[in-house]
Amino acid sequence: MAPESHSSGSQRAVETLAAKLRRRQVLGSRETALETVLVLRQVVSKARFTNIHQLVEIIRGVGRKLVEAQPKEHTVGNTVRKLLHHVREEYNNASKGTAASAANVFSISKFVLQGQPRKQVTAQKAESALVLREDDPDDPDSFARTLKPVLMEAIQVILDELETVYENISKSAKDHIHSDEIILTIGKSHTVETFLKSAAHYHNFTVIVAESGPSYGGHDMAQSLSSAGVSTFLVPDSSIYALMSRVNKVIIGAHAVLANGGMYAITGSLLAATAARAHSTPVVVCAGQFKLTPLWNLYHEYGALDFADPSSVLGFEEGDLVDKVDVVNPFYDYVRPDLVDVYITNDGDHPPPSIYRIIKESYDDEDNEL
Amino acid sequence: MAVSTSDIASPAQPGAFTTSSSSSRSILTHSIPEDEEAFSGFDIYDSYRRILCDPQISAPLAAILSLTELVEQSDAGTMFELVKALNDGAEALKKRVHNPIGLNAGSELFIAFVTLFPHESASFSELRTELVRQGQTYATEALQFRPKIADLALDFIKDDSVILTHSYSRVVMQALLHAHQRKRISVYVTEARPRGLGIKTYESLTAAGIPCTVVLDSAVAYVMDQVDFVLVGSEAVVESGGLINAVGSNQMAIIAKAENKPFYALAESYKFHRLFPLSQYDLPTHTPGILSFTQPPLRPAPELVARPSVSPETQPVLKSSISASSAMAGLLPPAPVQRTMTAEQISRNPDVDYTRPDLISLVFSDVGILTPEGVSQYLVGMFAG
Amino acid sequence: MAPKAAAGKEKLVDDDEEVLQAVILADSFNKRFKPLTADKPRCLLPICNAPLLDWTLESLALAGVQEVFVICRSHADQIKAALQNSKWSRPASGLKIVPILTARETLSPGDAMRDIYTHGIIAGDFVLVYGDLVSNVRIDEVVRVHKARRRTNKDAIMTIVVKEAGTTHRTRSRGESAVFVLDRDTAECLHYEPVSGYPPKTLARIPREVLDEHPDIEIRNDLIDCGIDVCSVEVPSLFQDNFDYADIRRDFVHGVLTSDLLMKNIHCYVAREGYAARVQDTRSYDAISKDILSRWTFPLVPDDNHPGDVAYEHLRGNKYLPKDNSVVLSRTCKVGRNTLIGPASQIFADAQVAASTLGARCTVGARAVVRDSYLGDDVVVGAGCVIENSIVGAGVHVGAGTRIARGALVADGVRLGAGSRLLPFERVSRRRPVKEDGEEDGAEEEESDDDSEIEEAEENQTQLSSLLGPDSDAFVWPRKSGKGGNEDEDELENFNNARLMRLGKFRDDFADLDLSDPGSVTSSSGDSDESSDDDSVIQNFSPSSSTTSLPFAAAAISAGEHAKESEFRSEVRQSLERAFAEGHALDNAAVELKTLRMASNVPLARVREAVVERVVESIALVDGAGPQRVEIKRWVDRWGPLVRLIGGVDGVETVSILQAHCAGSSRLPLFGQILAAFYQNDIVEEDDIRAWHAQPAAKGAGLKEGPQLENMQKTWLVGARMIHQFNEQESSEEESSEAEESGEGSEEAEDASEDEDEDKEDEEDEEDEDDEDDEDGDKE
Repeated sequence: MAPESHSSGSQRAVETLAAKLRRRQVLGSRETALETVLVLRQVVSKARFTNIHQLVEIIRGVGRKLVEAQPKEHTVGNTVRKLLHHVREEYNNASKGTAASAANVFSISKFVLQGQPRKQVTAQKAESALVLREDDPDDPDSFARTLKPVLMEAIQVILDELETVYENISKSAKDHIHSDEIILTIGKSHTVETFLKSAAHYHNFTVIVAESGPSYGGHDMAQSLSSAGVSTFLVPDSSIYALMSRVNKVIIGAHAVLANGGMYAITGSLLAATAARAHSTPVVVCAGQFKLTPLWNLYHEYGALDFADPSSVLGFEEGDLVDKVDVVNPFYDYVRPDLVDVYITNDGDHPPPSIYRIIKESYDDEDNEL
Repeated sequence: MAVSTSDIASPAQPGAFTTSSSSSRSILTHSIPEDEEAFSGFDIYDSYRRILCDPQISAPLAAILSLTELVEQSDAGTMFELVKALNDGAEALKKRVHNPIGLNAGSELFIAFVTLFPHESASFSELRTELVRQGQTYATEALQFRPKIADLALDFIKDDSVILTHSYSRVVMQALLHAHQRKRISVYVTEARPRGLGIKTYESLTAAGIPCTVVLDSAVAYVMDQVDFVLVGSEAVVESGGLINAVGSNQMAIIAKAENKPFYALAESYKFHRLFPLSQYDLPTHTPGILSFTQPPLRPAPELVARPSVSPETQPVLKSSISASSAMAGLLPPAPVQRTMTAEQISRNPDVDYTRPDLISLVFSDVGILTPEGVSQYLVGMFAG
Repeated sequence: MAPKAAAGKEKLVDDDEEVLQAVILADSFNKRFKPLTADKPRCLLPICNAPLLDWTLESLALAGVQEVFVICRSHADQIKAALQNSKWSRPASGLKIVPILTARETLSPGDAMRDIYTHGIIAGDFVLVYGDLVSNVRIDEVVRVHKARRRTNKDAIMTIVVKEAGTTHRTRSRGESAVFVLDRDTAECLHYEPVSGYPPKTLARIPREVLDEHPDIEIRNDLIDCGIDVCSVEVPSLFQDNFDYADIRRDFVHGVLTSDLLMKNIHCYVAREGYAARVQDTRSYDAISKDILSRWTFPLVPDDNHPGDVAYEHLRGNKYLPKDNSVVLSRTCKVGRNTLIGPASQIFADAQVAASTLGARCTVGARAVVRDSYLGDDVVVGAGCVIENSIVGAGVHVGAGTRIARGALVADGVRLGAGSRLLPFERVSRRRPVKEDGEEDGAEEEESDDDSEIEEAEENQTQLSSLLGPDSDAFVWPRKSGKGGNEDEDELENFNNARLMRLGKFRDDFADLDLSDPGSVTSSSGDSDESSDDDSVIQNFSPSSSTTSLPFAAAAISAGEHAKESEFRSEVRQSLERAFAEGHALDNAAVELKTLRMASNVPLARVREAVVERVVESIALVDGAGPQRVEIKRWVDRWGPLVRLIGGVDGVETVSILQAHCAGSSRLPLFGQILAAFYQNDIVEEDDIRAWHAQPAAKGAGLKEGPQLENMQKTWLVGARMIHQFNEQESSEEESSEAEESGEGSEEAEDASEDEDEDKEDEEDEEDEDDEDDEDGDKE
């Protein structure tokens, strides 16, 4: 039973999403994550497998394809990893009754590995009464049949989490922002937008929005905030440093949060974070858990900044200049962990050094490389 | 050897250590006279030296292996006796080795493992054989750690990188040689006085075709600007997340921090050591003799009062007296002498120093990449069972 | 995420019940890429390591096109095979691709359109593009606009996508562009005026009616015609009805707009966002490669949505290396900005690669320099080579020490031996195996039109191949020249216009062509200007024009020109030194000089200067008058005639050059003797010397005080002495003739001698003409 035997319908869904990702027709971290989950749901529901390894291989294969299509959108890989983690968890839960936990020989290396961070075993869900029969020659579908409903549930959990991610992050908004504070943010981030709006229900505060050229997402952000009744100023990026002395808190969004506690965020974030450091202003980053990426050294990759086309910096019609000037238009900044004070996620607030721990808890190590 | 391990919660043997492994440390501090060794003929130090001759084996592994041999040789009949024997052996070893940090880490790991080892085998001798087997298996496995770490580090080494390293470290060498196969790297290595192990690094790297330059220990600050990152090995990684390594690492980390350059440490997991030094002087290697002031030789009173630099005549005299370590050298002409420290002066200097966790960017180990905070949590998780 | 989003795209596709069709004209219908396109259609030429056709298909896929017809003419089987093997043929690609073969008689896009009509494949509005398009323009948006317009105006049959760029933009073709007259509100194209680069277009005639009917018009000369047309179903049938429509722009658009009967409208879509351009010629190949590498085409960039199969990593300075780490870079090599290196390539020590693309498995030898060049797969560049501004096809083997100058095109599989030198704009392909008998030509009928050209060129090979190193397996194509071209050639493809479309340095190159902005040229400058230009541009060897062209060229000399001249000078020097050292035949040396001159496009005087200079400098200074005279005689006898052979005899100039050179050189004392030797060898005539002597410049007029002036005066005195001798000689001749013919009047005798002189001059003129003929022969 070859792993690629899943139907052409889901195959097409994968290819379509891959093409969209390649062509940058799906944008935004959450949007991408949602699309990925939907495709994965389709794949899993159509997939034929007789044991856990085949299932994992199928999901990984899809994940690989999608990640290759758009390696700079980390939420794709993260979502796949998350699903794999859930699959294994469900499988282990379910198989506890049937198979004695495999080869649990105690050895020194095992002993050493006890140090690995792991999720505290949460209160067991109602002991599942599934009986898994892997590689049953008489009824090869039995394994899939039994496991699938559970998997669908797990996927639904991921979906729900994604759908409520903004609300969950915003839950603690009122505790982070106080009355009469001045908040600085940059660019347009849905997470930050929801966060600020939710805090606005409780407190009166002022938001300074840096416009974040050359994409100028700040314009939309300012519009949206002020229409929600938040007192808003729109400022050019160049004045961030000058204004910083009056700012109480910098709240920014992230594109990807790395295991070392650093993050990728829209250009200008590094400027804001550095200015904040100079004024000892706290930097708060709002990011859904799906943005936590099990990568340590992404900042080594120059291309990770995602260089867009130069046209928004220098018009193509400036023919003479185009010839003589190399224009660099990165879309993201890498912000070092020591510049961030806290990450607010839908899973609680964490300082940068603990990010790796959450990552280890939410993904399995073997999936870091899909 | 069938050892059923499914039942982890088997009742402990009488006298087994039921407390957490920290007790093993407290045991270590009991001073047990060496002559109490219950097994004659077996000298753990000899065994340790012999094992260490293998260039691939580092101190912690050698400690584990020699303790394994001790288990093999031991005639202990109970778990309690065995653990006691192990502790005694570890202590004996520690006493006779000049720099016991590495082997401490190894013995600590092995003893903690033995105390936690679930056993329900019928005979104690069977258990012993099993323990021996475990120790040897681990030693074989452990040889794979360095390639694994080298692989992890590879991702952090960019093409065209300039790397600063300190002294000689097997795991660093492996990482550099591994990286050299894929990327163009250049290396600065410190001389690492007084043992000059940096020269060894230089020779091996040059032989492998990696451009390499030896840097004076005192020129680290000078070279730091040219460097992309610092890569060092370690004697041990401690519970604070800090690092114990050949002396000079600390200053290197401080300079790297000042220049905002990443400081990466490579450490095999058997070098994780439950130690929480707060300063250099908390290290087990620190003795009152280190960096102590010697009584200057007796001189006529006025010269003692005078600052050494006041009189032009006295200055060279003082210096050469240091070099000759003789108070009578005042008669030597102020010729250009090669001024080096005497062995005695060197012996008053530390071999290793402690680097604070906040100076370390990341620790690469076979159990993964860890932040210093992560190391600390890891150690707690490991020894808390 | 990055800003270029396609948020509304899905909805659009959902709205549309009908399938969006596209037609790709996969044939270029011209030969601008020859010889690169000899064995391969242009649309399969790689740009940034992916075939052009793949870029085109990706552009269409981006727009949500579902069905694509690829019209292939030459090398159709290759295109079919390429499509079959590409990722597009996979069912999940979402594209249905149908290759359509057309007859070889399809000679223009118009013919192709008629073919489309006969096939009857078009069901509705469709997108018409060429197979050399690189675009990330939202064509779907254009289609939407087009359809919306069609709902209200049934006569709006076509929407042309144009991109704002600027007149001198590198990506805008200088040889083939257009002025668009648009209605500002409706973007209707009211008038289309094709513009060719040479002869420069100075006037655009806008019909009066346009102004009558539309109060607000834009006249734009800054648009790149992207070659993307959204056409309605009537368009092919219009081509069918008007069988003389050949070109879509110059015939069809122009025809539709000027026709009083058709009453159809054409609109433009000015794309403000996105990128679109056609690889129309080697120059735009260069420009578009650079645009891709500097990410104007984002997300169609090597590290992102690259149509090829290789994933690239983007490094600082827009360098792209394959992600699989297969490239081997030596420690001391330099990879410059804007460079793409294909998988498994190797770059050796001290080599430099900058602003170039390297295909897969390329090797760049030690100390080699590859700059602004495009190398195909499996190219081996030997140690110490210099390749600049050229396109080198796949599998080319470049021997050590070879220099490939700017603008050269090297076709697939060529072997260039060590030490070869390709002159600027040289075109080289693999030598054909010698045909046993001419009858087998039938098989190669396809290329029959090329053959005549090639055969012509074959005669030249012996001379030209002297520049190719040993073991070369290369065939040097004849250089095009303005004169040799057939007159009936398309205006667009004429030599000078084609020059504007070829790869190489841009600005200084055209200093000789008057290309000032059309707006600034007054109509009076029209014809006279052009003809004189012709003279300077076209390699013309008549003596008169070579001198008249001087001031023009001089006026046009810019800083860049100077650099070019010094480069030329050094090349001439090398060439002559080689000739002197190896004792080449005079003719061969002359041919080499001529080609150099053509390639660098410098006036004849420069060549003459260089030759005189070399000859004079080669004369060794020997002690003693006798041996010195022998030495001079040896050199001037042997090489003096070269001065004549390079064409355009102008003795006066020769003497002036000689004087100027001697005045500034250690050969000053030899001036008199050399001049005498020149005179002996008929390189200069007595009259020339007299004429020269009479010139104020010969006395050093206009020079500042200094040794130069002194020397000039000294040489002038030498000349004066010589003339004095002439005078004496004449009088002595008179005397002798008097003696011989006993008693005839001295005046008569003088007349006679004058006659003789005249005769001699006549003869010379004839000789000149002969020379010229020879040269022409050489050239053709």
